[in-house]
Amino acid sequence: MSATAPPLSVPLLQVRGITRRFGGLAAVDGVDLEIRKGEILGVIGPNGAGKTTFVNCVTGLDRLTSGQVIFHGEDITRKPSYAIGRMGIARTFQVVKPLKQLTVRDNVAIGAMFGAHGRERSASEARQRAEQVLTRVGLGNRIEDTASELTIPDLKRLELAKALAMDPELLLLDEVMAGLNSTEVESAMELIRKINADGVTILVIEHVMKAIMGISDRLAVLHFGRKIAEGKPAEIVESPQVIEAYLGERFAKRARSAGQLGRVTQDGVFRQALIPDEEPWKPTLPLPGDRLLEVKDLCSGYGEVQILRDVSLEVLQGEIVALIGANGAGKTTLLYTLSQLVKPRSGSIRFAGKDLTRASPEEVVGAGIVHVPQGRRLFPGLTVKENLLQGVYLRRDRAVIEDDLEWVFNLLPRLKERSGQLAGRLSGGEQQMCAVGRGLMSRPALMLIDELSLGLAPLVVDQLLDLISQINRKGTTVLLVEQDVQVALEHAHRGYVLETGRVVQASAAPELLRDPRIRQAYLGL
Amino acid sequence: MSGAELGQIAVNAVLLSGILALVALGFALVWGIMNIVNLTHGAFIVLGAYLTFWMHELWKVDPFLSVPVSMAVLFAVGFLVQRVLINQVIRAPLLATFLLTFGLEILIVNLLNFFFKADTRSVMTPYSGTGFSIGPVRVPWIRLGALGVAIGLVLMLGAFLTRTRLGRAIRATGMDIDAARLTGVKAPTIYALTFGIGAALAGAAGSLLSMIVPFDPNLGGGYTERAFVICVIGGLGNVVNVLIGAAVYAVVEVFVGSRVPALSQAVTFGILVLLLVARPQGIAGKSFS
Amino acid sequence: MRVFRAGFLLAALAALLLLPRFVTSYKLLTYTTVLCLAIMAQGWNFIGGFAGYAAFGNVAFFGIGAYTTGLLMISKWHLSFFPALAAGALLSACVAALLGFPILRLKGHYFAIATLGVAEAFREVAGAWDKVTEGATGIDLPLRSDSNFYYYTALGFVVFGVALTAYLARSKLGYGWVAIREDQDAARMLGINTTLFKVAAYALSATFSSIAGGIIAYQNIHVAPNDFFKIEYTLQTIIACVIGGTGTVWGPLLGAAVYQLLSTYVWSHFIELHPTVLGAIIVFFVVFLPRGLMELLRRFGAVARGGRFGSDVFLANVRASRLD
Repeated sequence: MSATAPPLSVPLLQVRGITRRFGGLAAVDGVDLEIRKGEILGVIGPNGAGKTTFVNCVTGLDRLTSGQVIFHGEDITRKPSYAIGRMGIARTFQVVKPLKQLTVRDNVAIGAMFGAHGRERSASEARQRAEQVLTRVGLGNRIEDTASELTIPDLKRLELAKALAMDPELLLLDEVMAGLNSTEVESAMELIRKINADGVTILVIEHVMKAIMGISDRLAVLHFGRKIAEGKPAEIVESPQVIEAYLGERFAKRARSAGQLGRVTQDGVFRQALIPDEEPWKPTLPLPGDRLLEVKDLCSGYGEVQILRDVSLEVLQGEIVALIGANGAGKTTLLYTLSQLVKPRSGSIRFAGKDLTRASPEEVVGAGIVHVPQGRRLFPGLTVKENLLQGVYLRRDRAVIEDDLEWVFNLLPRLKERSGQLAGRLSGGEQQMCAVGRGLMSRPALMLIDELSLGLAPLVVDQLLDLISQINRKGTTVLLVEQDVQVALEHAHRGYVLETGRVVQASAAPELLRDPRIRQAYLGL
Repeated sequence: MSGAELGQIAVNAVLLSGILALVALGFALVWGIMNIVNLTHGAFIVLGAYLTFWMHELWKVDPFLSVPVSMAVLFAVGFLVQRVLINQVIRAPLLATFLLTFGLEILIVNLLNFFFKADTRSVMTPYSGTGFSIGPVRVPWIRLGALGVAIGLVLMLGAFLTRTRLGRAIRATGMDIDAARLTGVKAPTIYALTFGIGAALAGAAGSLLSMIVPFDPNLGGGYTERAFVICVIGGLGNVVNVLIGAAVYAVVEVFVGSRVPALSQAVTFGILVLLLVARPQGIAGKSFS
Repeated sequence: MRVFRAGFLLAALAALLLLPRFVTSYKLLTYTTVLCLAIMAQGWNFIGGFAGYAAFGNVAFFGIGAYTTGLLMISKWHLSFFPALAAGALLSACVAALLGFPILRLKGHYFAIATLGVAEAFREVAGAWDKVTEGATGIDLPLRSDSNFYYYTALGFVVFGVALTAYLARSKLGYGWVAIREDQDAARMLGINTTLFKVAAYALSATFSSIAGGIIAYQNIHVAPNDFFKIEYTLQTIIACVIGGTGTVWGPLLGAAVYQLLSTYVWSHFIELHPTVLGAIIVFFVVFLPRGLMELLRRFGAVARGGRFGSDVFLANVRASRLD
């Protein structure tokens, strides 16, 4: 919550009926919105709701099909993005865009050189200003480092610093907290509040519920490009439309049982809690069998950076194992190492008795391990059916392939409906389904699934995890990497906790859910 | 301009568009899938032309029959060049692959100059120069045959890409190489295959061209440029786009060629610039810039 | 270390200034040509090195500079060399700016090939516009057989080029260029008018190419389309810059010198396969030393200061850019 919401709320930015069409599809459809000076406005909505497109349109990166954008009473609809930057509107990118070969300082200095007060500064003054800003966001000790060496949380800070150095009046933050752990989210929230207290109006797009509820003065909800609700966070959480479209039933129950919004405003932090009378869902499966995957002292990394340090774990036949940990802990790297897109530097990987440490990616697939990568990674120009067929690339027998296709279509009837459509046109949840389907086609013994929930609405995430459990019941072993710890542990047998490339904890999933340290670090309790 | 002239221009354009489509297709495939603007493409065309020439000269092989041979040889050459050389820099910044293919082109053309000298050659057969007439408009048999071969190859490529397992793998790799590898695709092999096919198509084009125009080692450069312009006009999305681009370009080139031959490059360039400025995504295709 | 560096540079400068005394006139012509290559490379460095837009047709401006300088000198106004040179530079800059606005909106490949087309188009125009350029036969400039003059003029421009590059690299323009190279969308969002900055780099590169063209034209006396619009010149320019190190202050100069050495060696030993070997050299540098010799020197410097050489990084370069 901002400390000083001005009594006479002056609209700083007004957006009138903005529409952005891509061919026949309206990514943003007639949105009216007002951002008042000094406030923090939160924008939420499911994946594909048009939030990033909205920001692109306001900042001139994308051209509007129709509508108007008015800043300080001036129509800025047709202005080029650099001009908008100079007027005092700055943004961060969801996928961070550091200037990789430059130092951290130079990255930020550029913002200071070309932003709202850029004209008045010389290059060296800009560098000084950069150092100030960097200290403020907490990167003071990394000023001389090259941007390509930073970790993800630091890159997010750098992204913020670049925008701040432009001395903006209005700051648009696009999912700055994606991939941060609970502690990091809290410090990000603090930082945003500080910036707002210094006089910067902020628009925040987020999926991390606790963060956005905690810092926003008002919220706007986008769904399929339209604004479906607007108001105070307390009102939004109760709105039936929003709950249904976006939050999902379980989440709303949690919100209500978290003791109403009185608790929310107390220290500005929205607290999630497990519903006390609901036990974590236990998978009903016959007892797990033999060791399927055995990883010993695995080390790997990218270029000069080492990510995994002596990681050892095992996955038994028939299990669902969850792999949790903060961003940068190495979860995704571990999966890529197992599927051999990243080569192990030392250690061993054994699968069903075979040594796969030095295998090639195609040998891994051939052995029966399929990796469903982070971000869906479908082939956008191929149809759903072609995507699925590609999933079984290594098989040549037509009849068997037909069977595989049938099987997957039975499991995922929605895919059958859409089988002739281009994969790029599906919604986020459908794409994730297709990605899982593509992985299933070859009937792997082990599926490695990376971040199923990323960017998806809680409702969709629930559905997908149920699907995974279903697949597991039919015999597929699953190693699941997840940011959403609660949902992952609720569906898994066991869990491993990864921290800075090491396994720091391993036990049965229900135990992990009850472990206070886990809850504190990952559930924000 | 008289009706006869117009008619001849139209026919010439149609006949030309076949060859140009073939030239552009190999180039577009490599560009679309591997994101490489292959400046060696012209050299591959010239190699095809020389292959056909020497097969005809030494063993009296009919040029049309030499097309499969030329394609096979160029496929091997392309496959090797990609696997051994280009593969080393494929993830490096654009300038690297550009310079590499540029350097290779110079290398190959110069070698050809060295071995075969810069004399212009042409493949002459008993049926060269013959044709039939539709009213005042003349249609040479060779050009018609070349058009037929070109169309056949284009259709074959289209079918290969959309209906076969390897074709699908190639398309998938072009869209997301890491995701493709996770389905078991051997990326270096697929890339080499793609490049090889591109070279093979260039070779076929060269073989056909050897019958139609007099050539020397420097013939290739102009065709690489034409291929680029065609890709820009048509867009890279799929085979049909390239065909449209080739047709449009052929019309323009034939028309300009009949009017101001000395400035054909300047005019081509001018058109290219106007097109890129006005519509970067080409007439039919998806955006590239 | 700094003193050592400054001393080294001064000594080098002194050597260059005194060179004409120790070398025959004929040899001096070659050196002048190298200096002109350095000038072109310095110009290309702005657009290709700093801003990251590989222009493949700068020989167009080389030719424009040559023709403009020559034509003005033999025209009825009988301009002397430097004003004619300046006029040529100005014209080239204007042409570059005019062309730049539309074609610099494009990214990577498209821009590169568009510039290739520019060079070819100008070559054709020079050949066809008989009335002004005498078509394929070309024009003759007034004779001035003082080889020292050409040498010192070229040297002067090279020194100016180094100073300008050093200044711009630390200025807002330089930062803007690098931002454009690293991430153009981010650059736009940060408030950089990317089109304007790119056009500036392109126009600057045109100016440098044009000056080189004017000097060579005067030295060569005769200007003809096929001699002055050769694509080889673009190639040499780019190679020189790449060998030396794009985006650095000394890279173009170093690269031009090294290129000349290699070229002379190759010419005397492999005369017929000259371009082939050059092609192979490009391939080598592109694969193994993409950041040029300046990078190599930097590492030597690091070693001298007690750091590691990092030869593994060369192989890592290859591994990183290779697909396996």
